[in-house]
Amino acid sequence: MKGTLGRLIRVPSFWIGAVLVGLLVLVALVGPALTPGDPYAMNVRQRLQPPSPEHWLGTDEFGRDVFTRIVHGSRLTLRIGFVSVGIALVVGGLMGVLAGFLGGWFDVVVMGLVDVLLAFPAILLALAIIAVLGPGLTNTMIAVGIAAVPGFARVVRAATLDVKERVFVEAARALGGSSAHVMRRHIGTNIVSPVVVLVTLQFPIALLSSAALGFVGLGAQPPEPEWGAMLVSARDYLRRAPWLVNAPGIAIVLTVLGFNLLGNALRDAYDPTQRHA
Amino acid sequence: MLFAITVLVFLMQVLLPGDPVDIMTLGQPVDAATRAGLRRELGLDLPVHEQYLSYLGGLVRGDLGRSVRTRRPVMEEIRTRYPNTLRLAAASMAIAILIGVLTGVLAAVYRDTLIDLVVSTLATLGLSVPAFWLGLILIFQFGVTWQLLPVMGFDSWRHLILPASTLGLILAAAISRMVRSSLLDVLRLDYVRTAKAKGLNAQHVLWRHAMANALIPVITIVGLQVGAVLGGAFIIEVVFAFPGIGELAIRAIQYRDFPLIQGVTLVVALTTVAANLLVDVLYGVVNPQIQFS
Repeated sequence: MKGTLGRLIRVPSFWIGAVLVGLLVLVALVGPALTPGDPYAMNVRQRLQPPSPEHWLGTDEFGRDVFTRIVHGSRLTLRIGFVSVGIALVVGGLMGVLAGFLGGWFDVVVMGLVDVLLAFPAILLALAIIAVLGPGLTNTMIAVGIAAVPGFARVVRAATLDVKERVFVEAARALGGSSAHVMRRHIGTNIVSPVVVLVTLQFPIALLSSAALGFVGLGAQPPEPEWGAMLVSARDYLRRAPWLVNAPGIAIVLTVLGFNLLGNALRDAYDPTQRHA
Repeated sequence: MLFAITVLVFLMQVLLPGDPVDIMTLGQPVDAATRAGLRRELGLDLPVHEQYLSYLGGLVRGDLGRSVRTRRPVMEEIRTRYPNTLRLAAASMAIAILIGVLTGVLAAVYRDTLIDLVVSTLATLGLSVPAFWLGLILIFQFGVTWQLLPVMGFDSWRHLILPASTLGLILAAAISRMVRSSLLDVLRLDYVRTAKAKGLNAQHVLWRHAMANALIPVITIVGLQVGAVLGGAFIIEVVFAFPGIGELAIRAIQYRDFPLIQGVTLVVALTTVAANLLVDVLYGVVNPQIQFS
């Protein structure tokens, strides 16, 4: 662990990623309190104003302040990330640990299903789930989370199989530890590193998918200040108000970039043999 | 696999909340007789396993039912749009491979120089940019500001340029990284040094000797991209109002048009399976170590 941390703090991409993610968390925590405006307040006389000292990022087609909406949207972004990755982690993680630890027919059935689902791109799985559940922000988080379950199940199963054969697991079982105890104490704690990497790298994927779903009108619904959904009006007013395109897009890029850099740095630090350029 | 897909696609209909009849009648109150008639027409009065059998029977005859909204046969809707999506996906893939391989090779050959830094930075950024946002930026620059290219619909090949570039540039990022790292691994190997030592031309060693082996992981990532290009096309089609099955599917989901949703899901699932199969075969061609039994 010490060696891992040592490698981590020497990588510049780790620091850039950490700063970007930290910035997002900071804005989400204190931003809404510091921006006095209401992200839903409309003002018809102020509609489609270009950026000015009064409205730093301009106003949209209802005269709402874009900067205020971006700041409030950061909370939605974090919530989408945590909820969807949480679903993938809990469901996929349980499936993976149980499949790896129990083996037998359970393993065959679960991994068979996982293999079928992995053949399809996650965004299409998410779309199919939204087709069943219906559009909306909550359903988007569920859909994006479930779409990531197969990937989590596979990684966690592989890590479980790897740990299961180690001597300390054998020792714990020989000492009479129950299956539940061994899974929780010995396997659970030893597959943490690959799972941390997986979770960090799933965040940007989840955020990009949710933003895309918001943009095509299946995710967050107006007037929610979700960054992807905010770009819908940007498209409709591209000629009259091009500034509407920049702010939500750059906010998404910086956030996703932050998680990507952080995740790559963690992956390289935990597994120096698998160094990706 | 095919069986599993038909079951899953069929189950979507069973799992759909709400009565399809309500959706068809747009929530207007209808009398019991009309309601029963509609249920019979849709086969909803049968037990679930018989519904599945009649669904399968329809599939065999190429009958996917009718769109609830337009009342046109689903098969017809898909047939007019499917080739457009394939064209968009193929064009995107070509752009992605071209740019990805070129920049990846450049970065590997000139490693740790400014070229490498620029390529790597752009690739990292490319993996963080939402495709639909890049699409909006390209529309603004090429369609609105410079008025060079059409940005909506699909009337000529020129309509393909912007959407295919959007998707291609995004996908090129992952390919470029993979080409760079796998080429760097290969360039270190003894046989490359031998080839150089016996005086072969550097270009020849790079493209014939090194690339032959570096291509294998690249094909893996390109194979994974086949799914991504379809998923990406769904979103990009909406950005450019491009008449493909992605745009069709997303409208179908908005209108809860379930026969259409099922039809598109089935076609996309089959396409993905076929594409994966193609990649496996290609694998065998490039890597003689893999034998098909």
